[in-house]
Formats: sequence, structure tokens, C-alpha cells
Amino acid sequence: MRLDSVGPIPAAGLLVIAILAQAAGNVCLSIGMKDLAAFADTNPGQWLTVGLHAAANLVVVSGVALLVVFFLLFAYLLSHLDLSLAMPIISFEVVLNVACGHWILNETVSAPRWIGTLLVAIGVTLVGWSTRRHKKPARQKRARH
Amino acid sequence: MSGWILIAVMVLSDASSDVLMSRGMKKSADVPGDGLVYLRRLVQGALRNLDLLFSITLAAIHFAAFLALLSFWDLSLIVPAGALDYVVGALGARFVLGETVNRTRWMGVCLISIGVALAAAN
Repeated sequence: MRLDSVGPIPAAGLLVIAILAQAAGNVCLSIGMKDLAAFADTNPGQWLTVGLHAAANLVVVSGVALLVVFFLLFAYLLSHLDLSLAMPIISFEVVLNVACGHWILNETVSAPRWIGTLLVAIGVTLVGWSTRRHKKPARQKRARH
Repeated sequence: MSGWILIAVMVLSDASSDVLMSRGMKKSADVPGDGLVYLRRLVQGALRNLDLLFSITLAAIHFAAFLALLSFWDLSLIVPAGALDYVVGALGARFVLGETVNRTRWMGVCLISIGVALAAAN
């Protein structure tokens, strides 16, 4: 399937799938790494044992696999999507990760952290839009020639 | 405290990796050929491209710092704090590369900075 032929909306849908894979991967790694830290505390200095435990930990392996899926999809999609379209979706990733931390990992997310997260998401969107604002004059210039 | 040192390592390595990846890919992508020949030349070029090799090394450092942070910090703090990457990127573009950073981007950078400060406040 060529993304060029299916247009930006299905491509944006794939980007949403990539963001979901990234959030799920981060949740898996958060669970797995805390489990690994507890295991390392009970086996001090035994780095090979800890490494083997990590490699055999299904949650850690799934987390890494999901991040690989995210990275491949994201890299491919960015070459087909305008950054100004991709950035607002990418910024949603911050909110999604904090929501996953709160509802899946039972982390305490205070009101200032929610507000801070929203500000970060808006900030990332603005950084994306600034790229579009930068591009416009170049397009107009090309059109004149 | 060690958490914030790891955040600094994560942010700086990620921002540097992006800059080197961008420069390296522009050099590597410019190879002749089609299909498998193009792919083979692309991989051969990438293996000789120091920018790409350093970029991959820095990305690995970024990931290692991220994993280390996940072992003792909340995901809901690490991800917003990781957005400081955009702040470093804008400062690097303005003061290292001498690029013009427009007002919208500075506003975004300010919001991210305030947001990270608020997220870390508790």
C-alpha cells in the first residue's frame, strides 16, 4: 500500500496507531523496569543474571517490540506526512502517556501535573505549527517562479 | 537528583542524535540506483557515515537513560520532562546553528518549559 495514493487521513490514522503502540510500549517498560529494579536489589552485583532476567521478561520484551513498531511506523509516516499535521498528533502522546500512568500504572497525577502536561502538549503543537509558518513563504516564492 | 541528571542525559542525547541523524541522512540518501542496489548502497553508505553512527550511539544512550529512569520514576513525569528536548532543540538552533527561531516556536518553547516545571512541581 502506497501512502501517497491513500492520502493524508489514512496516514494520520496509522500515526495514531503508532502513538498507541508507543504508549503501550512505555507502560510495558515501566512495569518491566520496576520489576527488574526489584530483582536487581535482591541480586546485587549479579549483572549477567539481571540481564538474562530482563531478556526473559515478557513485559520488557513486549515493551521494546512495541517501541520498535512505533519507531518504524513513525519514521515511515513522517516521510509522507506534513510535520504540521504530525505534530499535534505527536503532542497528544504526552497526554496519553500521563493518562496511562494514572489509570493503568496507578501513578499519582496531581492537578498541577495535568495542567503541566496539557501545556507541554500545546507547546509541542505550537513548535509543529511554527514549522508550517516557516514553510509558507518558500511555497509562495516557488509558485511565483 | 540523579533522576534530573538522567533527564539531562536523555534530553541532550536525543536532541544531538536528531541533529546528527538529520545531517547524516541528507548525505546518505543521495546515492544512485534502484531497488535492492539502492538499498545495498544506502546501508554501505550509512555504515561509513560517522554522523549516522554517532546518532545511533546517542539514541542508544537516550534509550538507556529512559529505561534507567523508568526503574524508579513515574512515567507520568518522565514523558512531559522529556519534552524539554524541544527547548534544547530551539536553543541549539538559535545559539549554536544561528538559525532564526520565529515567535510561535518561542511561545511553544515557553509553554513546554512552564509545563515541565508544573509537572515536576509535586
